This record gives sequence, C-alpha cells and structure tokens, in this order.
Amino acid sequence: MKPNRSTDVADVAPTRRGSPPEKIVLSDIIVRFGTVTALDRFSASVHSGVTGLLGPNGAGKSTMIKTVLGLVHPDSGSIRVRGLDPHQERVRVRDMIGYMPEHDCLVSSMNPVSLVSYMARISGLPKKDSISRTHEMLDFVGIGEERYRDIGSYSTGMKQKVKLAQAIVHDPGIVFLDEPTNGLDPRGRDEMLALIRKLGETGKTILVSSHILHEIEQVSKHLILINRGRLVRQGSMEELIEGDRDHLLIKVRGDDDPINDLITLLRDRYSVISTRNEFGQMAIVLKGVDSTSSLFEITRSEAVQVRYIGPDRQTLEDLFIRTIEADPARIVADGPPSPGSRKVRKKMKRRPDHGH
Amino acid sequence: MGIDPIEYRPWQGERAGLVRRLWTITWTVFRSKLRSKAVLILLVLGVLLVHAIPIMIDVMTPHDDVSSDLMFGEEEVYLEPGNSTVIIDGELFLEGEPLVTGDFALNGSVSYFGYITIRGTVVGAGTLTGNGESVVIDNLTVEGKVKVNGTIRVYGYLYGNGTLLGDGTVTGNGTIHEEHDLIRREERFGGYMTNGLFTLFTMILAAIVVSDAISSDLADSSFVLYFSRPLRTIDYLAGKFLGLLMVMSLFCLLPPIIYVIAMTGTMSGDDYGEAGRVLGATFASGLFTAVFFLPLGLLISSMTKRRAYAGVGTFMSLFVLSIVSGIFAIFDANWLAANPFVMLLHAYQRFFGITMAGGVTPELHTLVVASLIVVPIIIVYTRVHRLEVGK
Ligand SMILES: Nc1ncnc2c1ncn2[C@@H]1O[C@H](COP(=O)(O)OP(=O)(O)O)[C@@H](O)[C@H]1O
Ligand SMILES: [Mg+2]
Repeated sequence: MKPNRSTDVADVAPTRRGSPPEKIVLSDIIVRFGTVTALDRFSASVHSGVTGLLGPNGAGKSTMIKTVLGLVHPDSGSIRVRGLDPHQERVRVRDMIGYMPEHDCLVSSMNPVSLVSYMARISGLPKKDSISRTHEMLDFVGIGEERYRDIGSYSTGMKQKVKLAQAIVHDPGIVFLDEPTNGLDPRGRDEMLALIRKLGETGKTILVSSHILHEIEQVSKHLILINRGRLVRQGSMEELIEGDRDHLLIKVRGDDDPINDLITLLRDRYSVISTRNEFGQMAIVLKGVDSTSSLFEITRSEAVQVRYIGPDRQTLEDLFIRTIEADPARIVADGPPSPGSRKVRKKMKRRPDHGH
Repeated sequence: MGIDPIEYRPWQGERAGLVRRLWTITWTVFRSKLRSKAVLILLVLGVLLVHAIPIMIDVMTPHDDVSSDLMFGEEEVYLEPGNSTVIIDGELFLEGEPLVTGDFALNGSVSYFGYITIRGTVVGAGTLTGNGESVVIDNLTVEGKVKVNGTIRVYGYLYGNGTLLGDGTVTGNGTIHEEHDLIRREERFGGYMTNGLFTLFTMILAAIVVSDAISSDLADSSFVLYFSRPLRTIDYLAGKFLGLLMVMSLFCLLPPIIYVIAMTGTMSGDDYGEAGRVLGATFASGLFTAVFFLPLGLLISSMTKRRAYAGVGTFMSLFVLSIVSGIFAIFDANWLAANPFVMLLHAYQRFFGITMAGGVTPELHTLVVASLIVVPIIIVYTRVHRLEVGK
C-alpha cells in the first residue's frame, strides 16, 4: 500500500505531466437562470488539498460546482480542469472528479453495496474491482453491516456517508463536496469533517462548500469566499485572517455629527476602506497611514473618543459576517426563495436538487 | 470488512470504455426487472398462455411446411360497405367465397371461381365472369357483360345495356338500391402471430416493466449520479432502453423464434428457404413488438414520480387509443391505423410480405408507427436533457 502516491488517474495521462499547480481555474464565469445571475464574473482557482467554498445560502456555491462539472453551462467565461475544458473533454474531466451533491440523490430502492458498485462501474471500474472497492469505501465512511439494507430506510447521516462513498469510489483526483454536513447532528458533522480531513491528506484536490464558517475552518487551509455570485476573497486561511498588513483599524465613540466630520477628514487624507457601526462605536478601516501620530492629531481635534487604533486584525468570522452584512438581502435567502418571478421558481422546482 | 474506520486507499487500474459502462446500466436494469415478482409472474404466465401451449400443440400437429399461413392463419376475404365507391378498373380475382354485402361498380372485370353473393347492387361496364355454381345479386345493372355458368339470382332490379350470357337462369324482381361502397377486408384466423392475447400481454408487460424506468430516478433525484459521471442523456436513455428491451424480448422475441425453429425441425417437407424467410420475418416482428410500447411507456414514466401512475398510465393510454380508434373508424377507416393492435398486426404483415388488410395504407401505417416511437423518444430526451444540464 502506497498511500501517498498521486491518486489521480488523469495525472498519469501522458499529455499532462508537470501539470500546473492550479487544478481548477474559473475565469469570468457568468451563469444566469432566467433573471437570476447565479455567478457574476466569478473567477477562482482551486489547488490540491482541501479548499473551503464559503458563502451564505443562494451565494452560488452549488452553481459553481455544477458549472465545473459541466452540469450547468456558463453564459460566458472559461473553465479549465487540469488544463482541460470540461465541455470538450467530458469523459476525461468527469472521470477525474467525484461529486457529492447537496441534496438527496441516492436510489432508495437499492442498497449501498449495489448502488456504489453500480456507480463505480459507470465510472469505468471493472466489475471485480468495483465490488471490493465499494466495500473498502463503505468501510472508510463507516457504513457497517447495514450496507445490505435498502437506502430508503437510511437516516440522513448514513445517506450522507453513502453519498460520500459513491463520490470517491472511483478514486477521483478531484472531489466536490456540496454542503456535506447538511442535516447532520453534531456527531454526524464531526464524523463527516474527520472523513474530509483524512481525504485531504491523500493529496486530492477537494472543494468543500458550506455556509457554516466553523466547519470550513476545521478542515481547510484554503478558502474561497463567495457572495451573490461574486468572488469576495480567496486565499489561504492565514492570509485571510491576518487581513491586509497596511490596513489600520480605528474605533471611535461619540455623537453622529462629530463622527461624520471625522470620517470626512479622514477621507481627505487617507483612503477609507470601510466604516461600520459596531455596538455603538464606529469602526473605520484605513489604508495609507504612514504615521499614527498624525492620525492622533486628527482624532484629537474632533469631539470623539478613540477606543482603539491598531492593525486591522480580523478573524475569519469578521470577514464572513461583514460579507453577509454587506448584503442584507441575501440573508433572507436562507428561507423560502425571495419573491423572484414565477418562472424562476417553477424552473427551480424542476431541478433535481431544488425539488425538496 | 469491519465497521472501524479505515484509511483511504487509492485505486489503481484501467478504466473501462464507455460502451462497457452503458452495458452496466443495461444489465443492471435487466437484472433488477427479473428480480421483480410482478414481472416474473407476468412473464411465466404469458409465456405459458401465449407461447408454450400453441408451440406444443402446433409442433405435435403434422405439418409439411413453415409458411406465413402458419403465422397468420388462412386468409378470408370480405367485401363490406364503406363510404366511398369502389370502382374496379382492372381485374379482381375472388378466389374464396366472397360475401359482398354492399354494392360495387364494375368497370373492369370480376372473375370468380367460387360462389359469390352480392347483397347489393352491381353497376358495371366491365365483365363479371364466374365459374361457380351461382351468383346471387340483389340488383344488377349491366353496361358490360355478365357471364355466368351457374345461376344468377337477382332479387332486385335487373337492367342491362350489355350482354348477359349464361347457362343458368336469370331471375329478378325489385328496384335499384341506393348506392353503397365497398371495402375489401381480409382476415386471417388461427395464426400464431394473430393471437390477440400476445399483444395484450405485451402491453401489460411493457406497462409494468417501463413504469419505474425514469419515474424512480425522478422521485429520488438520482439523475445527477449518472450525469456527474461521463454519461450523456443519450447514454443514460440508451442503457435503460436496452435493458428494458431485453426483458421485453424474453416474451416477445425469444418464444416466437423458438416456435419457428421447432416447427421447422418437425416439418415433413423440405422448403427450408421459405422456413428461413419466415424465421427472418418472425425475428423482425418479435423485435418490433418488444420495442413498440417502450417509447410511449418511457414518456409516461418521465412525467410522473409515481411508478404506479406510470404503469397504469401506459396501459390506459394504449387502451384508450384502441377504443378511440375503434369509434372513429366507424366514420373513417383510416382511424384503424391508430389502434395499437392493428399497428402491430400491420407491421407483422409487412414483415411477412402479406397484403395489408383494411383501409390503412402503408404510408399511413408508417407515419403512425414512426410517430408513436419517435415522438415520445424526442420528448423523453428533451425532458431528461433539461434535467441533465442545469437549465
Ligand atoms: N436551476 C435553477 N434555476 C433557477 N435559479 C437557480 C437554479 N439554480 C440556482 N439558482 C439560483 O441561483 C442562485 C445561486 O444558487 P446556488 O448555487 O444553489 O446557491 P448556494 O449553493 O450557494 O446556496 C440562487 O439565487 C438560486 O436561487
Ligand atoms: Mg447549494
């Protein structure tokens, strides 16, 4: 057993030795569903290891994954999966991807052994391999003797595991996990996250989507932050948490008028990145401050109380919350679909993953 | 195998080509169907009733050849009132004992060698020649010649500008009837393929077999499992279709082939050429039967998530089609073409090279059959394709 050997079959393909470090590259992707723009000039790249795709509900996470798979055709933009176009090289690209869909998709009248081995064979495994590999993967995800029971009788937690098993049974180099912890209890979540971490150690390229920051933090080193179909930020966890080094955060307290005056003053001298009211104090992020002493001068002249001056050290949580706050409309997307046109809603119902 | 979590291990091996993967779908469908009790019961019952009994009886009955007559029974000819005047400009040979219950106009000639009864009026400028015993005609108007060696009995009006030649007697009284029209109808009875039970069982089997083909994937939203793998809509549909076809063939194709082979093996004559032709035509007919109801069934299965609805819907739509066609055929014989039973029978007749009976032309038949196969396939394809691509 050589656990660390590259597991991607396509890697062995002669045409692509020395593949670029980016495994998946999306450039300027636009996807529209009727009047809804699900991806809006979205660009991102995914490297090997676990990457979190984080964004509120309706941000476009699932759409992004489906677009890379070639299940959704972009209106414009280009996608490369290890240098290949998923629409032109569908067989090769799909053979190197494993996909765990967000919603229920398992055939309820089959048991996991027959379903997963069936899927293995559709992905091109020979019959004998498909059976042994199926048992191996069901062992891996932790489905025991109940593997011979029809999936119809399974709990959500077990279904999620079987969904994961079918996504990795053909040993793909790239794995898309769309909200893998959806509907799981805390224990189920922990188990699922542990599985993802283990998978991540195999050198596969794994993209995990979630709207829960806490989960992404636990499994991934890279992050793609998406909102309203746009890329908000992407990079390694540390970079994102640290924020930009030349950003300076000041927090002041006072009446509205003097604070507004202060902001106007600051705008004259520096570039103001953001202003935000945090529990009665105003948090202002600045760029281009060379010396803090002149900043002190300015703030002192105004009738405001300075509570903090220092580097803008935001936690990932801050980043996430700010992202969503910047877009109050999108929080509603958690509930029933916002009042879109009838046509759109009807269309969504027909989608297999929107039918619930 | 154990329940303890284990480490992930990579897989090393060669991937199979696309055809092998399609075959996996086909085989999985086929196997799962043969595990279903309903399908098994129907198959066993159907094969026993429709095939096994005729095979045993016919094989044991002495026969010297394997011909179309065996498959379709002896031919009988009827002439019936229709709604357009039949004008015979050429020659019409009546070899059986036709019973003409309407009238016909005669510009050509009719020769008969049997007994002819015309319960209508013959208006003719042509010749009616007979060697049989007698001609019984309600009314007879002759512009041409009527030559009879038997007896002509006219129960109506006898009017003539031509010649009436006969060795027998001409009797007549009555008036000219209102003009009717004639349809030539051939019917065959007792043949292996004309067994109505065959079609009925095929319909029920197709309805059951096809019922969950697409509807269960709809209910489980499991298309995505296939389409996130390297399969296109057409691969998915072809894989499923072939699996279903294999099940249908167990009933529609295999037994008739066995029948013809068994009959050929036990025949006393040596016309193996004809037997070979019958085998070929039987193969085509059986395959056609196995295919015929699947597209419609797939269409209905792709419209509902409930397999029961799909099954009942398929059967009912075929049933309603035959009833509607029967009702409208009273007014226009072309409606017969819409009857699934008739469609199949005509197809067999065409494969066997037998003249098509009834008022349905080959062109109309081709059109109807093609639309019942092609149109559902196109609709199913677009429906599933829309699910495959996200929009
Ligand atoms: N098939 C579809 N038809 C119409 N609208 C869709 C469809 N799929 C997604 N959308 C819309 O696109 C946006 C992004 O959806 P999605 O990618 O599912 O978000 P996420 O996975 O981040 O929750 C949402 O506004 C959603 O309503
Ligand atoms: Mg989603």
